Formats: sequence, C-alpha cells, structure tokens
Amino acid sequence: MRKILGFISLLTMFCTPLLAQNIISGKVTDSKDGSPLAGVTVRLKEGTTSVVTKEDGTFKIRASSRQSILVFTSIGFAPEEVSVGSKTVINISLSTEEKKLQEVVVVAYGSSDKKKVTGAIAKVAGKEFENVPIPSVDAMLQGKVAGLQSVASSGQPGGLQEIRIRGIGSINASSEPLYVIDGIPANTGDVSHNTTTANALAGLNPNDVESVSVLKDASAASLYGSRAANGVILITTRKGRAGKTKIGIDIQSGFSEPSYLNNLGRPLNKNQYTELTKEGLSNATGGDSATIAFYLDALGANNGHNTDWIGLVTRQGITQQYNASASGGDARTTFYLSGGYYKQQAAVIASDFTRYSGDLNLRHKLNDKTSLSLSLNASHSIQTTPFQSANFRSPVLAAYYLRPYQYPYNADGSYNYDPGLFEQIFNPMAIAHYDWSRLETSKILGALSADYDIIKGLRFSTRIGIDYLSLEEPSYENPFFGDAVTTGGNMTNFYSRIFNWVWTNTLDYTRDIDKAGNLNADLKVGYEGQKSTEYDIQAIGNGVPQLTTLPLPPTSNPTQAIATGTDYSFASVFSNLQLNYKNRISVSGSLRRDGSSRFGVNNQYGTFWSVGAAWNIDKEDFFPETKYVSALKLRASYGTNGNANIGNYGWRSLYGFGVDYNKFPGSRPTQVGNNNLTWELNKPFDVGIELGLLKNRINVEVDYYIRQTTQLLQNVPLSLTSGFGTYPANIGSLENRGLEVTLNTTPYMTKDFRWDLSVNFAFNKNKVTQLDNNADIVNLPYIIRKGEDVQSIYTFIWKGADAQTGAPVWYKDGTKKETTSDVTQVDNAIIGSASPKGFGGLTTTFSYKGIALSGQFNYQYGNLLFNTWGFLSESDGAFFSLNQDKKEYDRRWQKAGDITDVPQYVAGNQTQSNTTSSRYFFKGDYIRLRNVSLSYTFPKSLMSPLHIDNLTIYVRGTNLWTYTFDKNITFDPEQPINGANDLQVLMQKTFSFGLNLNF
Amino acid sequence: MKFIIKIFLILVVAGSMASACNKQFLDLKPPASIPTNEAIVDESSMTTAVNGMYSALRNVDFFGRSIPIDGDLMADNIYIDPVQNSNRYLIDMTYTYTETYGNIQNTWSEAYNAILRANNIINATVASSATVDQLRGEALTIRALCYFELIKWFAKPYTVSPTSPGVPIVLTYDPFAKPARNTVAEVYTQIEKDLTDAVNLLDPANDKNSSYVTQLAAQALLARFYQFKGDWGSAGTVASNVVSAGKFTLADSSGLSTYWSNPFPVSNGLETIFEVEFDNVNNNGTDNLSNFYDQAGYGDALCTDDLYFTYSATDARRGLIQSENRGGRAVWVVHKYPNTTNVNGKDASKIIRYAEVLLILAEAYARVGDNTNAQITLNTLAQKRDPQFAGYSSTGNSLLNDIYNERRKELAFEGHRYWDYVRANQAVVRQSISQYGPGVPATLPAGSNKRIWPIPRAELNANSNITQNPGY
Repeated sequence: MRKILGFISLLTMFCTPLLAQNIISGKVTDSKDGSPLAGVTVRLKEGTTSVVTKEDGTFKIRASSRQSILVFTSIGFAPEEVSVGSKTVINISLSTEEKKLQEVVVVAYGSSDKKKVTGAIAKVAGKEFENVPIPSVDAMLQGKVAGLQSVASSGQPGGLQEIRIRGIGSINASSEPLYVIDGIPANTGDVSHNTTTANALAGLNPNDVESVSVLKDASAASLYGSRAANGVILITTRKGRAGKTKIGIDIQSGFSEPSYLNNLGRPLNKNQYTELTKEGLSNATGGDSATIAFYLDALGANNGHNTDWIGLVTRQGITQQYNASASGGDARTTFYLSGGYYKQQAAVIASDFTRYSGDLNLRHKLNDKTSLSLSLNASHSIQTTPFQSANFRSPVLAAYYLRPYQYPYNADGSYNYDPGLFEQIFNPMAIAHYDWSRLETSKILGALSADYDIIKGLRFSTRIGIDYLSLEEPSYENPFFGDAVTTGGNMTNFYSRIFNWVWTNTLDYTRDIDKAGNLNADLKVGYEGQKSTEYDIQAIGNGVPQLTTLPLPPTSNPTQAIATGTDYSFASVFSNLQLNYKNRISVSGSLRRDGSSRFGVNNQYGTFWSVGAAWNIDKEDFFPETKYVSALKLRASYGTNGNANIGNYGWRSLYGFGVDYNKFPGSRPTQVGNNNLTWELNKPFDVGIELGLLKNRINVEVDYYIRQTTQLLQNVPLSLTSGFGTYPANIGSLENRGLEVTLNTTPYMTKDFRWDLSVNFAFNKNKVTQLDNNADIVNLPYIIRKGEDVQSIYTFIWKGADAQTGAPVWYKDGTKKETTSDVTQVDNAIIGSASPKGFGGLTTTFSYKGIALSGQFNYQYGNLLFNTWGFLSESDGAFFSLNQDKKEYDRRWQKAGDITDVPQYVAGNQTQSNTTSSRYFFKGDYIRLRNVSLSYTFPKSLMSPLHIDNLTIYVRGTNLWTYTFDKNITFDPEQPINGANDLQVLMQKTFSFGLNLNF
Repeated sequence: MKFIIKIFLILVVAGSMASACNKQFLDLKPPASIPTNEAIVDESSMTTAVNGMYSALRNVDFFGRSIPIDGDLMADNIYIDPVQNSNRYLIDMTYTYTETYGNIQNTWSEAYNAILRANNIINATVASSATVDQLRGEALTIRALCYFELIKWFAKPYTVSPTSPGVPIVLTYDPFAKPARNTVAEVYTQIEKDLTDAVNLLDPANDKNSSYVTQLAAQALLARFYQFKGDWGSAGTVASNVVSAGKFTLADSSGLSTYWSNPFPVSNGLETIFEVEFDNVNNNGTDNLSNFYDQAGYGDALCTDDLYFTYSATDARRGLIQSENRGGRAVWVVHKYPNTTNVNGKDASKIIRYAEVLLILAEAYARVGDNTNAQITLNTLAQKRDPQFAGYSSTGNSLLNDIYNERRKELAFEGHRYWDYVRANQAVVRQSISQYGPGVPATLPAGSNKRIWPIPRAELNANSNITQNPGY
C-alpha cells in the first residue's frame, strides 16, 4: 500500500514541471440563458487533478497532454467531456435538459446510474417537496409514484399518513414500507401514546429533502432483507455543492378550510330537525300530542336556540412556512445549512401543528482517499389534536350530532356546559377552550460517516446513524364539566424517548473484468447492527386546582406513575453483486441474512435474496437508428424479502403486571407466545419496460408485478375458554398483482413556451390465498376470505324503503333474489372492497418565460367508502335525540307510494333499519386537484444588478377542487386505507401565497 | 488479489465476532414482563398472582358493571333514560342481544380469563404452607364464582333443566384445547367441589378484609349456590353456619347510607362478606358502575316508579333513592354508589352481603315449611331497615312472596332481581313500562330463548366442539 502511494507521489513530482506550460482556461455557462455557472468541477479524466469554477464561471487547469480529456460536472447538469487537443481555451455550456442527464438514482446502500438499474425504482426529486403546505414528505408522495398509495388517516396536520406500495401485503402486521433516511432505517409511523394521530416523519422538513427513491421490487429492495416486503422509501437530505455560497429564502402563508362538505351530509337546522322529530314521535305514538310535546320539550325545542354546530367547529385556519438555507463550499469541504418554521391550523378547532427545524450537512475530503461527512437534522414540533371518532369530546362528532337546540354560550357570553343540556356529547367549543392535548416531539436524525479508498476501486465505508425521538404528551381535562368532572379534573403526562442506532460497514469493490473495460463488476459486502430502545413514562393524576390558567396543572391525587419500555434489534450481513456489460446488459444479485429480537428462538435468522437483469436494447449495435424510438430498456427481477413489523415480543409467552388490587401489585398471563414466530415472507416478481420516444420527448415506463406473500402473521383464534383470544402464527398468504404505467412527456415546446405532462396510474388486484383453516376472518363490515380481496366489505344488502309501509327492505343475501323487512332474515354478502382497483396522478405544467402554471390531479376508483357512524346520522329515528343528516330528512318515506331509499322516521325505531348495510357504503371514485400553483419568476436581467439569482412569487392551492362520482356520498372521498369515515378531523383545502428568493 | 483475500478474511472474522455477540444482542426481553414459567414460583409471586386474579373481577363487562346492571335492567328495577342516554345497555334492556354482541362476548372471555388466572394459581407447583393454602383457597373460591356466573348467564337454570348444556369446564392451561360444553349438573358439581375444597383450605385466622375471600365468604357463596340449585337443606345449613359464626352484623337504619358511602373494605364484619375493591387508582374510570347511576356521570340508569314505591316511607333503603332533575324532568336516582366524584376511593362491587345470607336462610326455612324461623330471619333484616315495620307474619307462598319482595328491596342495584325471576322460572313483568320509552318489551316470558345469553360467535368460530343455545 505504502509503496503505491510513494510511487504516485514520485510520479507527480516528475510530471509536474513537464505539464506546467499546458494550461487550459475557459468559462462554463448555463445553456438555458448563458449565465455563468460557479462551482462546476472540472477534472482531468486521468488522474486526480480537479478545479472548481469561480463565480464568473471561469476556470484554469493544467492538462497533462493533448490526449487529456476534461470532464465538467455539476449537480443538476448533464456532465460533459471535452478533448483538449490543441485548445488552450475551452468555453462550454452545460445543459439542465433532464433527458440528457445520466440520471443518478439513490439505491439500497449507494447510488447508481439509472441505466444500470435492474429493479423497479421511482425517483421523486426534491423540488417536488418544496413549499407545499403539507407537513410531511410521505403525504406529498400521493399521486407522484405509480403503485404507491398514500392516504391521510385524518385531516390533522402532522397526523399519520398510510402508505401502501403495490397493494396491501399483510393482514395483521404492518403493511407500511421501510423508511431509510440518509442510510438510517428509521422509526416511523405513529409512535405517540396519548395522541389521536401522529406521524414521526412530520419532524423532517420536506424542504430539506434532496430526493426520494421508492424501491418497489425484489432487485431494488431485497438488500434490506427482512424489512423490505412492503417496499422501501429512501429519503436523502440535501447536500452542499462547491462554489459560491448560495442563500435561499422561502416565505409562504395562507389559510385552510374544509376540503369537502357535502349538502347531503349536512346536519339539520332547527326547523328541519323539529319537523323530523315531530314526525318521528308522531309515528311512534300514533300522534299522541302530549307525548310529542313532552319529548320535544325534553330535547330543548322550546328554548329558542338554533345553533349551526358545523359552522362553529370548522374554521379558517392559518398556514405559514418560512425556510432559509445556505449552501456552498470548496473542492474539499461542502456544506448545506437550513432552518425552517412551519405552522398549520386545521380547518377544525383545536387541531394544529407547528415545527421548528434545522439541517446541517457537511462533507470534508481529508485527503485523496478519505472523506468524512455529517448530516444532522433536528426539529421540534408541537401538535394539538382533538379527539376523533365517537368520543364525546370529539369536535367533529359534536358538529354532526348535537341538536340545533343545544347552544354553546350562555346569555352572558360564558361557555355553556350544563350537563342537563349536553347530556352526552359535550359542548365542543367549551372543550376546546378548557381542555387541551399536546404532543411535543423532538427529533434528531444524524449520520456520521467515513469513506476510505483502500486501493483504486475498493472503498471501505463506515456509518453510524442515530434516530432520536423524544415525545412529550400532556393532556388536560378540566374539573368543571365533561369526563373528568367526577374526578375533579385529570392531568395526564406521557413521555417517551426512542433511541435508535445503526452501525453499517460496507466494502465496495468496483473493477473492470476485461482489459477493454467492457465488462465491469460492482461487489458490495457489509454488516449492520441496529438497536432501538424506547423508554416511556406515564404520570397521571386527578384533582386539579379549579383554575383555567395553569399551563401544567398539578394533581392532588396521582393515580399512575409507571415507567416501561420496548426495544428491538437487528444484526445483519449482506452482499450485492452487479455486473455490467458495455452499458447494455446488467445483472444483479443480492443476499442478506437478518437476525432479529422480534423473531422466535426457533426462527431467529432469515436469508433473503434477489436476482435481476436489465437490457438496454437501444445500446445494441443491431438497434436501428430511428427517430421514433430513442431508448428501450427491458428489465426483470425476482427474489425474496420479509416483513419484520410483527411487534417486539410477540413470540414470548409472558406474564405482565399492573393489574393491581388494593394498590398491591398483581400479575396475569398476557400472551400465549409462539417460539416459531417469524417474518412474513414476500416473493416479488417484476418485469418492466422503459421506452423513450421522439428523442425522449416521451418517456414511458411500464411494470407488471406479482407479489406472493406467505407465512403471514395471523392472530389465530383460540377458544376463549383458554383465557386468551388469539395467539400469533405465520399462516396466511396473499397475492398482489398489478400493472403500473408512468408517462412523462413534453407535448409542446417552443423557445419561450413549454408544456410538460406526466401521468401515472396503477392497477392492483389483491387476493387472499390462504388462511388458518381457510376460515373467514370476519370483522364486520370487513371479511378476510380465501379468494377475495383482503379488504372485502361484508354486509347486508340494502334495498330501500317499502313503498307502501315505509318499512326497511333488505335483500336476504348476495343473490338479490328475495327481499325481507325482518332484519333477522338477512345474511351478509360481499359487496366490494375498500381497496381501489386503480389510482394515480396527473401533473401538468405550462411555462411561458417566467410564468408557470402547474397542477396535480389525483384520482382513484373502484373502492368502497364506509360511513361508520351513518347508523346515528341516518338512524330512521332509532337515535332521534341526535341530529340527523340532510339525506335522512330529504329522502325519508312519508306516505304510501313514496319510492325512496330511506325508511319511515319513527322515534325509538326498533326495525333495526340502521344496522350496517350497503346503505352506508359509497363508491370511492374521485378526482381531486391536489395541488395547483401559478408562479412568476422575475427575469434575470432585472435581478442580476440586485445580485439576486432568482426571485419567484406564486400562489398555490391544495385540494381546491374535488369531483365525486357517487351521487349519494355524504362526506369527503379521501379516507384512510380501510375506507372508513370515522369522524376524523376534516381534510383541508389550503390557499397560500409565497416567495422564493435566491442569491 | 491477495489483498482482496485479506480484506475478506478480516470481514469474515469481524462478521463471526458480530454473530457471536448476536445471541445476546438479539435476546431482548420486555422490561416489565416475565416468562410465564417464572410467574408463580413461591409465596410472594403467588400473592402477586392472586391480586391479579382479583383485579380480573373488576372488568366492565364482568363484576365491574355489566353483571350488576343487567341483573336489574333485564328485570324491572331500573330502566335506561329513553331521551338522554349514552346508548349503553339498550340492547340488554330490550332483549335484542345476538351472538356478536360485544358485552356478552366480553363477559364470557373475562370470566374465562379470571378462571385462567385462578387455574394457574391452583396448579402452581408451590409447596403448601399456611399462606399458600389460603391463597389456593381464595383462587378456588374465585374459580367457583366465575363458573357460577357463566352458568347463570349462558345456560338454563339448574332448577329448569340440569341436564341441558352448561359451559365448558377448564381446569388447566391449554391454549389449544377446544372443549365441549359440560352439562349444567356437571358444572354445578365442579362449583360445589371448588367451594368445598376452598372452605377446607381457608383459615379464619388468615382472614384479610372484605375485599378478599375468607372461609365465611366461601361458605356464603356456597349457600347461594345451594339456593340456585334448589337444595334447600344444604342452603339452610351453610347459611346458618355463616350466621352463627357471629362475625357479620347489619347496619342500623340510621347508618345505612353511611355504610354505602364508605368506599373502603372493612374488617369489622359490617354488612359486606365479599366485595371487589375499586380504589382511586385501580378503577374503570367513566365506566365505573357508579357513573352509570350518578347524574354527575352518565346517569343513564334510573330507578323505576314501581320499585321506588315498594319501599315504605320509613324504610332506610328508600333514602338511597332520590328524586333529581335530569334534562328538566324529575327522575329517581340511585345513591347506593355515591363515590363517583370521590378522589380518595371508588365504590366496590358487592359480591355477597350478610343481608343476602339472611334472605337465603329465610327462603331455605320457608321452602322446607319452617315458617316461624323464616319469619324470624326475614324480620331480623326487614325491621333493621325499617324500625317502624311491624314484621312479617305470613306463611307458605305468601311468605315466599314477602321474601322475594324483601330481596328486591334489599338487593336492588346489585344485580340479583333478574335471577329471582329466572330461578323461579317466572316471566319478567315490568310494571312501569311507560317509563322505558317506545318499543321496549313489557315482559320476558319464562319460555323465551332470550332468558339466557347466546354463546358468543367468537367462541363458536374458534371452537368446533361447542354448541349454541336455542334461538340464536
């Protein structure tokens, strides 16, 4: 080793004087507008000499000979090579023309030229994540990647986002992908303990993201072994570039409102509700006016109030973000530094999210062989979240079910919380005023790495990554009214700290196998250890001072002071081999062995592998020169990977504590365990074609896949007489197959005008192929049945109201041959699935000089949505003391001959017409304008004298327009993966203004 | 190339070192749980497990709320406010439960979960000692109590059909077993055996307070067991044993409300023989039984007119029911469980009280024709509650009616009323049906399939050997 080093330095000493006279100078400009490009690396193809262009784009370099070749590279531009020959001045312009780029994509444990990639990888560039009024990157992926379904579980800003890549891959374990952020397999999802919905990824400022790679098939993802089954999302944060220090400032502010309120779903006003209730009481009592009057009075009909609860609970929320960044450096050291502030109020009271974030990326070349780098991303976010679902403190529940007679404020303006008036659902305005629930998350993602080039082509890398989360979750329930009035007020504090470290060591060896350099190999081997430990404290008490001003009310009666925790570990060895022949044919193979604390002692280690191949046919000599087909690549892959999201100690047979008696400790059996319990096994097969047409003006990528997932974790039902309900075992299987199409095109382009269009769509078909004893798993209204979609809807089939009597009419079963009005005669039948048949996005951008108009539409179809609480709001009188919706009012059966789907309204209705049935399901097909923006970039000629590189102003809207295809739908069509509207915080549309300034 | 080999060697060594550490690195245990086989190994760990067993009784759909509520609601003592309610127990009140009804499934699974906790204590390989015997006796009693509840709710009464299907008897831990239903008589035999064994193991010298099973508690439950069995001779013998032990007393009429408002267990033998303790930390929160009566909580369950007016004006028990305002209407609110807002303690669920033992004894005397002793025993209680009361002097069926009426008044809101109807195989008749709101059935005939609950669907799905009750 030392010998080689010595030889090189000797050589350099000899050579230097000889080269002195051969100095090349020149200037590098941007091909778009001719402006000088600073920070471009200019290097000799042979050897290690390199320089960086100055601010005016000029450079000087010593070339070794006339045969020398200069290579110009700069991130975001296509690299260029120029032979020196006899030239002493070389001026060159670099092009940002994306199609020309040798596209580099981030892949598992590295990066690669897209042409060589054998797997299905979708890349989303960082600019897609800039200045969008959505707090987290995962939510922005919706509609951008074919086959990636991303849905919000709630309109709560910072709430959980659910992602499914190529269908649902699990029944009981998580179907979420693995997130790897700057090389760290991170703890993501909802890690909170006392918050309705949260998202650990919301702590990462999307403006700090350089790119996202979505790994979809075996070849792309299997290097992540037992955690890759549901896809892998690689997030890379921004890095600095050598050259002039660039400052960027982004300012955005706007407001939000509910994205979709439907007239049919609106709760009734006073007159409508009174009319309906009167009719219901009359129908129930045969018109007994004394009883009618009694109940109406008891409900509050005579108190003179007419409250619009939905108007009170919704609001115009504020949304703001400010980001500032600086980046630059020299040939040895580069940096990126940023700070961000983000604040968003939901369109519903008591729901907001604020984040302060900072990012630092440093890279330093210690010497020719060694480089060090650091990336550090830290944030603190504060989220307040109301209750959702049917909790009596939920504002959305209150908006829909409180009677218009109930009123929020007393005559003197104070909050009305009289339990005689708010007998079950509390006054949401008073709850929002007196009670609160907060989540404060501190998040640090850091990676420290060193690369050392041992010899040419052989690099050793070591990286220590940490993923640190600290969550403080205090919540307060006042002593004056509500759930805590009986305990004198409650104060609950949860604290969690999750420390997750990973140490990765890899050796990467690249070399040409033959002398001509036609065949080269890239071999990577490595090992990795990871451990995540969580520490939780719960401190709960009741009996608080009768005050409303204390930020942290003390409790006179502490009821819980518990510390607990949970942890997991992985130990892995892996290797990957890629062979490439003349950029025509690539073959790859991967192997990984994972051990994990999560796997039972009998199955603690698993081996996962993949093989893949790609053929760039257009590079073959026989490929005809044609102006139509400009690029053609075929690829295929197959392999195995796993899903380790099976919970931390599920395989152990355990006794737990905390079941205390007379305040003495108590113990009890908590789980059955299973020593064989292990990962779910996924076998993805993929074939893809990538096609470029008309000089790559049109790019098409089509993938077909089949994912067979076996040994699915199932909670096998036990006889309840055992004292347990279930035990975990790897039993079930399912299959996803589908087709993904991505089309990127520039249909029209002139010097000043340009139209870009990109469309993606994906079809997925899911089928359960095996279950424990092949017995149905029924969890109404869902069924998991062999041969059917895993989210099949299993419910009664509703026919409507009997035209003569107004009685409910169901079909007896799925054959729809016989009908009945007797609920006990009705059988459930599968009526569809909550999973969409197809979904995708369409993005279009028109730009004319500095003006750009851009829109993104998202769509999905073929799924069913479920109105979980429809049995209350369309109760046909069974819940006559709750407000009903407009559909119930408009369509109720009133007299013989009425043809309608809503039965007669009878107070205390006993027909069970509101039993869950197809009546409460809707087609989930929709198109939504997810994002639209209109921007203007001031011309360079105006800005340059002010030393401004770029100034852009814009207006932007999200979810401004929604089209639903089901005429009967009563709520927003964008619902969680399971399609169930569960009275979540309403989704929002936002409208914002912004400014980007770079200098 | 040699160099490459070296690197690989290093890697292999490093890799194997890593895997040597792996065993430890991957063996992560939960920080607050222990392996099942280390759970009950000595006196102290058995004591901890016994506490855990008692805590199982607190569950909402077990003694926590559903058992005491349904025992009154499915009869005629209470109703759910038809205008303002939290939608709880409407199904129970209207007898519209099906095999998928969550409350019923919970009662089934929580009872068997408590039985599992008891089984593991009974079967633990811990050597006998005074403490261990006492703990085993407690576990046997609790197991018997759980089977007694199961057989009440899910099987036909012994007095109606002892050979009809009861519930599966599970005495050892086997998560994969799929037991069939034993007959009612077989389950009765097991309960009798457990209680008898318990009486032998339990020692009054080791009595703790009223929140723990004692020898007399096991005997009191045995008396109730014979009462349900219709074995009046044994019921009388065991009940009079409990009475003659002299440990228990009745509260004075002036002290009755003080007795009910005490949230803590007692050791002085006042009224309570055994109760499930709810303290200010370990309780069901807003799902506490008291919240369902107290107007500061849900307050959904209200006393019926006909029950209220059954009490004489001078009856101390009438003072436990008060007229209050609910949504602008005057209703009868139950105050047997007044600690809803007490931050120091919560109301216990009374499992068996001395008054019930006296009522069992009176009924046993009356059933065997000993009117005199029946009257004396009954009047001991009735005159304690209402000092102005002249006493019962009826005989025969009329005396039995008086005993049932006294049972209704004494044990109201503790979940016993429905079982008096069921045991006697009589139709439930709701006199105050107009209070129940539109659509609620006024009677539940003796022959109705709804007299007992369905075996939960989840059990039928998981256990191919089990059969459903008729009509579900």
